[in-house]
Amino acid sequence: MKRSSLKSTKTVAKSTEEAIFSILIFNIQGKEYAFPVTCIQEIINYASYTELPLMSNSAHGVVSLRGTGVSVFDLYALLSTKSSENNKCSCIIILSLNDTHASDKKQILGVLVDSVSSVLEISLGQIEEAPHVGDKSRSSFFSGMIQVNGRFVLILNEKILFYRSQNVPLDPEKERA
Amino acid sequence: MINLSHKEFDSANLTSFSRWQWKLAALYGMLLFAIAFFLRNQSNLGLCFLFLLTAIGGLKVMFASVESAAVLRVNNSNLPNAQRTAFNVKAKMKNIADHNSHDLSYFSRYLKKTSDNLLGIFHDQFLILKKVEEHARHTRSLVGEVELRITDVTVSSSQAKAGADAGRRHMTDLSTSVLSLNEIGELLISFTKVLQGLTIQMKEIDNIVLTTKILSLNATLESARVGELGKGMSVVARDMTILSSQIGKTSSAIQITLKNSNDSLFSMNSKITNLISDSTGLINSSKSSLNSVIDEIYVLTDKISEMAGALSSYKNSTKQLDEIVDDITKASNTLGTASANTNLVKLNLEELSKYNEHCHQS
Repeated sequence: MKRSSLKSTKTVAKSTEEAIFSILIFNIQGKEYAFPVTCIQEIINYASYTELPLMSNSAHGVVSLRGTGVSVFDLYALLSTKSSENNKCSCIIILSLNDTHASDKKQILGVLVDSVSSVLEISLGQIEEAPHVGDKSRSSFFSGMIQVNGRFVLILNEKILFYRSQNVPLDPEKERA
Repeated sequence: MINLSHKEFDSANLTSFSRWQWKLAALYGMLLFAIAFFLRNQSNLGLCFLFLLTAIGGLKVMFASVESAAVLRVNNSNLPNAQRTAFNVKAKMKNIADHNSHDLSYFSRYLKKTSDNLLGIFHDQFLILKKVEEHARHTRSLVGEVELRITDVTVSSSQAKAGADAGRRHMTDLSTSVLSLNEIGELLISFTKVLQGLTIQMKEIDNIVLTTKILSLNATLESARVGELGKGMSVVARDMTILSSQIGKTSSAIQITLKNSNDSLFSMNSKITNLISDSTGLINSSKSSLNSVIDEIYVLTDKISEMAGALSSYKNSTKQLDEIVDDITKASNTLGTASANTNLVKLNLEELSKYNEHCHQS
């Protein structure tokens, strides 16, 4: 029994490690980051936006997505508290997140990035744990990192980013859970 | 006027002998005989003979005179009137001779003085003429040299004129070249504008590439979301991404090339514009300088022509001066001849004066 359960546990662990999922790699200020494609709805070109009053530094404005207003946040500002500078390759990644209050409802928000590179299929085994450097709350932004062509790509935690964008106080333990 | 020959004059003088003069002559003869007789008694025969001969000679002359007087007395019964007339004539002649002698002497002295003055003047004039001739010769040589210089300057001026005209033509050619350069610059500007339009179009292509890339990534995302069923679409989307990436790289390379070309063209255009500006400035300044030089050359040529005219007039004046000098020389020669003539007149007058004196004495 134990043996079989162990075997099944090993099999599950092996299957979990071999599970393939895709990430979208993008650039912000020369650094590569990634989002799991499961949370990405689509990518749109950087278009004209409407600024809202009393916006935080990280809030970029509102863009029209096929007639629907979508809030756009400056990802670089979220990560470093500095505003990014737009270029001709800038684009907006539209994220579709589960609403914390209603599970059947989706939260749509956009993040402004410098450029998108590619979609990469990876296995869970390739994901390394994000390094703990100083404040744990900061490292909770990342769910892990992978190596692509000798470079490290940080996989961002989209939920933490969402909280951060909504100015919700961070609870490291809760976030970790 | 009474014209008397010498002989008549002498016979008229003889008539002036009076009776008491005859008596005195007889007494003189007798005295001589008495002295001769005395000397014979004193045995001085030589002196006695001499006095005797003298007395005989004197008597002979006396008798001849008496004979002539007798003849005259016989032939001219009115001798006393003739004698008076002769005396009157003699007196008048004497007066005339005195006057003539005085006048002739004065006139002779005056002529001598005049002749001396004329000789002095002639000498001074000769010296002046020598100097004038020397100056005229020097002036002629100077005028000749100035003429040569003016000829050289005229030739140089003509050459300078021709050079200036050639320079003006070259300036015009240069202006035309600069205009051509300007046209090239304008062509470059239009070419640069074309390149700029091309760059804008390349940016449009970039946008299309970006859109394509985003589209392919969206397709990849969709296929990834679908899972196994979306594998085919994923492959297509990946190829599309690769294609768009390649197009993007090519577009970037073209854009870099275009930018470099545009920069080069812009730089070339700037250089050409600067060159045109500098050349135009230089040409304009050169033109104005050349025009000033040409104007100065023309003014100089006019001045030289005026100088040549003035020199010609001066030459004519020199010729006239030569003629005047010749005339003066001729006049001087004439004066010399006149002076010589005056000298001759003076000599004649002196001779006349002597003759007059002689006449007067006679």
